[in-house]
Amino acid sequence: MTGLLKDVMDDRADSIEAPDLDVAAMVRDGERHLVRRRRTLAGGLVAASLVVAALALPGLRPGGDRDQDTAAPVHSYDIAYAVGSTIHDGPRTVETDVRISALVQGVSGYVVADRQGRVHTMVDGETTLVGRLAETDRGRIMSDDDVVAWVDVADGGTLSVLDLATGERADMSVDAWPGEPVPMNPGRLGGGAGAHIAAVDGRIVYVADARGVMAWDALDGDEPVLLAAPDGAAEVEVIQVQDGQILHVVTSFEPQESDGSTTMVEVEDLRIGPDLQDGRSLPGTRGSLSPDGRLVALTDRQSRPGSPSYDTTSVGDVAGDTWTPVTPPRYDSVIGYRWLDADTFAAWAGTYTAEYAREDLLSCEASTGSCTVAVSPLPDGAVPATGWMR
Amino acid sequence: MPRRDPAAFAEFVAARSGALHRSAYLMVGERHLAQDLLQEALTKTYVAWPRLRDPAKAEAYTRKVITTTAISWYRRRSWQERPSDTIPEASHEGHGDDLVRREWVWAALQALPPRQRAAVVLRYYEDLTEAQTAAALGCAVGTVKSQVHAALASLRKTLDSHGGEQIDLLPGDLKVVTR
Repeated sequence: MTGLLKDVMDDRADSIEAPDLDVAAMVRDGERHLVRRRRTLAGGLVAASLVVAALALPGLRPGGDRDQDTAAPVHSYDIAYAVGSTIHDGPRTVETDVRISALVQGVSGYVVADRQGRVHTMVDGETTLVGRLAETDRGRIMSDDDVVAWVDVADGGTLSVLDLATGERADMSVDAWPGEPVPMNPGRLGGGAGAHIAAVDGRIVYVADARGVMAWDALDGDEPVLLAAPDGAAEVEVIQVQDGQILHVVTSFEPQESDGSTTMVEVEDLRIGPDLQDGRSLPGTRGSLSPDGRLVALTDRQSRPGSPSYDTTSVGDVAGDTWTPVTPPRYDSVIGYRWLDADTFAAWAGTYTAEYAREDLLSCEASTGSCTVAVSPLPDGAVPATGWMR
Repeated sequence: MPRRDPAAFAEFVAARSGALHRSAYLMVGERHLAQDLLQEALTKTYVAWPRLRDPAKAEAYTRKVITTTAISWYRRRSWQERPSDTIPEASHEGHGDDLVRREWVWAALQALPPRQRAAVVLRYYEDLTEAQTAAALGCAVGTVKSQVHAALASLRKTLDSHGGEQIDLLPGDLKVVTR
């Protein structure tokens, strides 16, 4: 007696014919995948990456020029936020047993962190502890659809990458990254690995530490590559990467003449491009890229004498020069922070007076700049799906 | 294993695709879907080929990709797209009843949630250990236990409801391991 279940599976499996597989297509598709992956990284590779040296670097591609064959499907999300242990995701409410301090949405579920930086996945109603952020005060979880990454406290700092859809996971110690390791900062609350997650683009993860910005497909076991920094830059901060377009801020020091003396003034320049060296300047201080990297919601910080600073948002094509202001009535400050689909982004809007502060979450159309209120008011202590610890 | 050597990869496909296809079929329940799943999984194996080092690792990797891809497919697709097997009516006592019970078990297996079904296939068709099953599913061993437990309970319920109370779902030695 071998058991009915085992018998059934054996019989069924034995009954099927041999598969008709196309090995040539596997090799062809596999090589194509490798070329795409290399192209994604090629723009910023240092000389150490000899493999990609012969590949043509993709330029900053105008709207209609994108390789449709490589385009990932664009998923649609509702505006989500958490309050306490409850996730509000559009019309849905998800009760968890985690007090949520950071939240990201994937196609297959959520990833959250609690106040202690413990990272949990929530997939198919199952909550699983998967790690702990290296930094609990300024830590961040980053995601692109189902690929989620964070810098974990393990081994003094480890990049952890997880695919919620497939369960694939990769962990790579900071010590194994190229260049001289940066020591962990023991004075920082919760540790701090000296590194932080900068962006996730498909399966490519971007991290930064004192060595610079590194990018690689950790899930496929690739090695990190250091992206070449622009000439004269004191610092480069990667804001977001989508479809190979890197939105980043270059900080440099420029001489400024004043009253016969020269002082060095810090200048920040928001740029976009397929690498960090030849980016195109954009009129803003920060921004959020659409899933296909074609559109950007730009934020510009404004200061008024005697009043708190506030933010304005405009939206447009990354390759164009026309920017549509996003100015919903009643709000002093608007920040576009996350794209919900190819044409719609979420914005965090606030009304502030000396006695009163109110914040809402809005859904805004890229084509018109018009917004509708999705959450009003945003409850005290709410954690929008930005991935940042709050 | 040479670095991304198409000939060595083709040799691996020829040697192991039959077994992998059978496993894929049990996970998705449909021959053509199983073939598509295997084609996709082997393409990913080709991409990962240089770091798999030996055929045993390549097979384990392919099995993992089959498993996680199958789960992913069903998570993204509507269950309505699945081919629906008709559960046969009970027949007379004897050999016919055995065939009907097998059909019930097969239909019940295919009706399981994808992660449970994959766990059952890996544990009781592939004869993987719980740790190996956990590695293929990308989850903790405890999750494998709970998934298998839930799956067997569901299958048992189906079998019992069709008069199969006296029939063992699993061999005796496996039942001990599962507890």
